[in-house]
Amino acid sequence: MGQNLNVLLVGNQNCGKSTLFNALTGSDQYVGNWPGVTVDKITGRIKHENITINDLPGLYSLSPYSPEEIVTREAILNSSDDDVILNIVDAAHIERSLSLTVELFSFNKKMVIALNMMDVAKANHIQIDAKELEKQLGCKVVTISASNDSDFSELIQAIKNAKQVKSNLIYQEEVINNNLNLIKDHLKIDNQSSYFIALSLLQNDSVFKTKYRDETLLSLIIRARTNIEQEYKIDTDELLAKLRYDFIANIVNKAVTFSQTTQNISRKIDAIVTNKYLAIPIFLAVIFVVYYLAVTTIGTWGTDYANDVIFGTYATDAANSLLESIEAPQWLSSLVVDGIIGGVGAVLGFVPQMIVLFMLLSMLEQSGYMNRVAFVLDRIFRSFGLSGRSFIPMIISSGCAVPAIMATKSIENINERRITVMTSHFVPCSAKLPIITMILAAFFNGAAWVAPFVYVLTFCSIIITALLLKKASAFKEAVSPFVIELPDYHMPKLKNTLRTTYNRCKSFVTKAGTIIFATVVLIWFLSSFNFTSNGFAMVDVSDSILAAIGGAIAFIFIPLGFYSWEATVAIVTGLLAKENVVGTMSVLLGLGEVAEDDAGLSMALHNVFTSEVAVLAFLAFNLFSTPCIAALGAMRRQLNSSKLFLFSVAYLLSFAYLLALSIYQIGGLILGVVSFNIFTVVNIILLLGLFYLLVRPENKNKLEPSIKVKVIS
Amino acid sequence: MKTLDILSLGQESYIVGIHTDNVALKRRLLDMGLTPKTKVTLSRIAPLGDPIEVCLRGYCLTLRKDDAKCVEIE
Repeated sequence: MGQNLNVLLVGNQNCGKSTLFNALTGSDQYVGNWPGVTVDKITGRIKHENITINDLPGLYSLSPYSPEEIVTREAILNSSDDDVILNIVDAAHIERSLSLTVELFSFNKKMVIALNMMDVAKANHIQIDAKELEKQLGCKVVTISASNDSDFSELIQAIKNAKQVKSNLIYQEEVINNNLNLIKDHLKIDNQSSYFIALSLLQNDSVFKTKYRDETLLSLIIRARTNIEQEYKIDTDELLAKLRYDFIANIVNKAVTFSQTTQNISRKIDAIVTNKYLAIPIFLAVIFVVYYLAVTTIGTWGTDYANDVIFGTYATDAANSLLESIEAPQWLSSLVVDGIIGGVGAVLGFVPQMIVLFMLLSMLEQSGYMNRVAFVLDRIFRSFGLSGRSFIPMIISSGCAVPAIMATKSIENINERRITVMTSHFVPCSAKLPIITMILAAFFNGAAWVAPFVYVLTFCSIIITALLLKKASAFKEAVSPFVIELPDYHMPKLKNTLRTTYNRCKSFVTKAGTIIFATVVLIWFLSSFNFTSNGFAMVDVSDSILAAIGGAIAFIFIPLGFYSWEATVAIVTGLLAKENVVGTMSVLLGLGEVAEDDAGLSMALHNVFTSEVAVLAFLAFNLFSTPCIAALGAMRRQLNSSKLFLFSVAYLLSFAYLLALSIYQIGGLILGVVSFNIFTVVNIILLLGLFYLLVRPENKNKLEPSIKVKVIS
Repeated sequence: MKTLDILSLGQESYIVGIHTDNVALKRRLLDMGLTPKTKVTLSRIAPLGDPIEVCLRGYCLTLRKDDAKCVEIE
């Protein structure tokens, strides 16, 4: 079998790259993360071959302006001389696809071209002479159909025999070549890819300029660009792009024939799907189907089954009888049943719903529909720093925020993804509804305005938070400009769907699971133990450490209109799962487990909350502060940064506090139940501060985005 | 100066150049093939009037009107 061969898989988005990767590697894959950026690093091995494949992110060019591009460049620059670039070219869009190919040539590496989607090209009346293409490019070309082929032996053979390509194929004009050589000679780097570096520097490449910073080099670049611009009377960047496309047009002329251009099937579908009047109704219908399957029916059935039957009954019963048979002490059975089974259940219980949701989203992504969503809804969402794709997590969140937050994975733009992660859970999930019911029954006699009031608060919370975050620098990472291609529609592949679903569920269980499990066990411990006259022992929740902590910190909520250790403890246990709020309240108020609209509970609540505005403040704090721990775990996973995660938690707590404060102080003042006091002043100052943050001008000076990527060398 | 965003549906034109200080946007537009003398056709407008889709070099590209303003056409 010989030595291990490393292959770098590079291609445009939607060119069938993942499909080829899955077909070549099967289940032998590893998903990781590139250092410093939230770009998945996926590697796999070809079956029965000593070949490792690195699936690099889909991209259109090798400029240094997005994390995907930088990751790809670094991977190629740091590869060894024997590594092979496998470039997938989309035959149906050959001209644009080859632009990346000729950019890859400048790395001077061993390279093979896989010409994919020949069937689509044929259907579009495009004939490609692969042999002629190979001759013109001076690089091995293998035609494949990633989605239909099962035998890739020709491609694998070509990879093994790959030859180095010629780097300076395009820019042979004397002025350009001489200037490129001047830069190259000055750099004195002994690297196969010095031509690529020189060419990038000629285009003022910010990454390399920082890396090889020296005055002579900078003046050399300026002189080179001036020389070129004097000679050709055109901007250097425009010239280089033009020469590249001229070179491609010349090759396409020789190797490709376009017969009559009929409207292909994708264009016909688009005429309906992006139609002026039909686009939005169709989008709403798609959302409805996703919601219906993931939240109303199958997904929730699965999750309820896992929570109530598997973990709630079987696992609990089995553990109980086992523990009884060995006569385990009470603390041990409580640890196993409430702590461990509860903790594991809190993580795994969400998986059935996620499977349904991720399968649907993966199919929508593969089909190409998600790109249309971005196109159709961009106008509405972009002013809030969100995207059309943010709509799906928000709708799902009304069922459960955990799969909703995990679903943000399908938002490509990292800033939009992060803002969606932080706002989608504001939509009240099904577990938050009992809190609303409890308060509705106790204080408002089921008044019809409470539910709309909650949704108005939800809407305002999302918009205010999105607008605030949009201006924060942490949410201004460099992303590719919104200049995208609407790919042809594709039939989703089951194999790809299962693969994506598996990877995403696994990432939830491993990355989010740990934090969820740890917190569940911690809160179980705090709410079950305390020091008693007999030493440290198990106690009821009302005598627990948690109750003591609740009593100690209850004063925090005085400005919000309630001073009650019961309410404080309920807020903390609500962190485990929001449905706990009602249960904790009723247990702590000495009523045991009762329904959320129980008359006794309603009576007891009137002793805790002295006014309606105070109970609304309590409600708002529960609904709009941090979501439950499972959703927080998902947030931690999707933000992929401890700093941002801690910021989110702090932000959500402060935001909910201010919201509840305003309801009690200002709402109460207007309704005449709260008199003017020091907290009213504080409240007004805080609101003015918020208002300033919302309207302050955005910093637009930053024209050249800077990306921090750890360069591995 | 005429720019790409003023084309009406189905109208064709040729690119003159890209004018913007946003280096990332400029490079992206050039990399996607919006180079001088390229023929472009406005093929679609999103239901809410923005973004737009233009066809060039045998494929179609969507971009926002604000970004299309940087592209000078004949």
